[in-house]
Amino acid sequence: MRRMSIVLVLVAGLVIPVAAPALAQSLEEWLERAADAEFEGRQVTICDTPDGRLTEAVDVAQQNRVIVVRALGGEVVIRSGSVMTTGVDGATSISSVDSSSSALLADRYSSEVRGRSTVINRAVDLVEVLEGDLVRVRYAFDLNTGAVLRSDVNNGDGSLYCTTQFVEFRPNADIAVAEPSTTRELLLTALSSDVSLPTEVAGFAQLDMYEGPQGSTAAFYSDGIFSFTVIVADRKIAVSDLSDAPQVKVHDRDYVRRFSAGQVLFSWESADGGLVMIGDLPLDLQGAVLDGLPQPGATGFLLRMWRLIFR
Amino acid sequence: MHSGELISAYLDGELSRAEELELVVHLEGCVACRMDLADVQSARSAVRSLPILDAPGWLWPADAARRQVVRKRPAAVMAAATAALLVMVIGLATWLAPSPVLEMEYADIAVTHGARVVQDGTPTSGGLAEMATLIRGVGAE
Amino acid sequence: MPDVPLTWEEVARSYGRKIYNFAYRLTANTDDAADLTQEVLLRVKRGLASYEPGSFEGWLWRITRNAFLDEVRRRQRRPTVPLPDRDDRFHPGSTPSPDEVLAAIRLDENTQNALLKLPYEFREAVVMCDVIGLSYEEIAAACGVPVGTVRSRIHRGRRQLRELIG
Repeated sequence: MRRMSIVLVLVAGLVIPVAAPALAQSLEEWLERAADAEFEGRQVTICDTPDGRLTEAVDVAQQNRVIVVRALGGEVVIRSGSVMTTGVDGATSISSVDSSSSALLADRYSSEVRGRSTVINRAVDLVEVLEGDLVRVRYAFDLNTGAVLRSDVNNGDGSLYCTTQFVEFRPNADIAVAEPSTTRELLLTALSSDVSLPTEVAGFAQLDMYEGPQGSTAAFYSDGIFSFTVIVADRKIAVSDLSDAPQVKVHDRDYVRRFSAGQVLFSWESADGGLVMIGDLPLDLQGAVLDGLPQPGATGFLLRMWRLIFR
Repeated sequence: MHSGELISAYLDGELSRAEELELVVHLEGCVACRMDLADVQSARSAVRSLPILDAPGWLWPADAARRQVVRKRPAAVMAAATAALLVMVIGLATWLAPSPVLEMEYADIAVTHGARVVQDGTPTSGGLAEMATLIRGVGAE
Repeated sequence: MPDVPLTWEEVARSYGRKIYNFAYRLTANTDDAADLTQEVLLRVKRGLASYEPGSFEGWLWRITRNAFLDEVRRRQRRPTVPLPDRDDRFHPGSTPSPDEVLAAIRLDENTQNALLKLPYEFREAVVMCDVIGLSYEEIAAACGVPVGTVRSRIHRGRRQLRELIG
């Protein structure tokens, strides 16, 4: 019942007006202002996936470039590009990554301001990210604070993939982040490796390559709007929590796939070894990216030997 | 509402003539903006009057060897005969042994990706919901 | 600014000091700043061979900034706040009174402490503008953001500084 009413709030919340005064700001500037916004509230994400409708609700507070996300009795603090996760049992870990490149908006995107509307009774500016004729993302920026009150992400055919919206929102926040007694620190170091992954896939640029979990290699790709990480290992990868995930066909190839609200994970084995891809891509981009990565293929006795000898 | 930013840019000589005119006119009638100007000017000169320091003398010439973080695969250099022998020995072993599998935690994968995503700024279209998977992952350990 | 390929020595001589000050004002730690300067110069040296004529300052500061961020994350250290170096602050021949010296030192410390409290994006923009003397265009090119964003970050940084310095 509660879920139903949330959906109704979201659907009813967005009215698109006709007139559209143009403003001189670029999309980056809108997002920059959103990163500076000060607020706290409750944010809901709803995604329509082939596995059904998935939802997630988190409590968010943002102030002075620190973001605190709370859910399920645990907490994530994002500060200066590092992530500090505190789990339900109090265990804390800090993760940060070496990176030398920032994501640039891919050429295929343009943005348009679409005028004013309201979301949860707050005035918003609507900005659309366009891919040709397709509205890929629609942002609703809070007039008062600049925060992204709502975003809608569409698949390539124009159908709605995910909607993220604040259902409660209060300007101003008072965040006090205590320095934790850390139990685990994870610093991912950049490396140049000869793991063969393309430098560009479906319009996404490879920005960094670094050491992944368990001695694997991780490469991060972004097009300025969406991003994903590919993890490569020299053996098949068995991901925990994936034992009940279905095997599906994407463009006629077999993958194990698991959706969560706002994210998807693929796992497969190719001639190169085991691969995992995780990211926030809408459905059509998932296929386009998988097309450009090493494909699932039979790995037999001879290939295993080859790898063992010539490693 | 952006006249504030014009003030800093004006002090730095970064305004176009038109913008400068617009600002000066605006300042005439806006007391709050004039106070803003004074504040910004004070902070600007505070930083500008910080001394330019000399680097420590031992810094030059800067040719110290640095940690190179490069991982390369060792070249496969084996005599043909040794290779053939190894093929036979290893081949037999792998035929009998099952293929090794790398166990990986979903949480570790999510953290690896999440930590990199936030580096470029606030995650927006992906939503902060992705962060919830991190919490779930850490809590499950 | 001549746009010809410079030799490694020329770059190290002209820019090394600026790079050191950039790193120092961002971290307030002489050791870190020195290490960071070495790392940057090494990257510049490696990159000079493939440098294509364009904006040299923009290219150089993009490398500087990236190297700085990489090293800082590699270290994961909280910046400490030592006393500022007074080496070349006072010229021989003009002897300020003890009060003037004390006041100047206190102001510098105050300002440096305040700088450290700013969010990184604001701090780097203010340091690039007011310590290094880059133009907004050059800062925008180095940080990979539009000029409007640079304007906003510098302005907000200064306003925050004013509140902190008091």
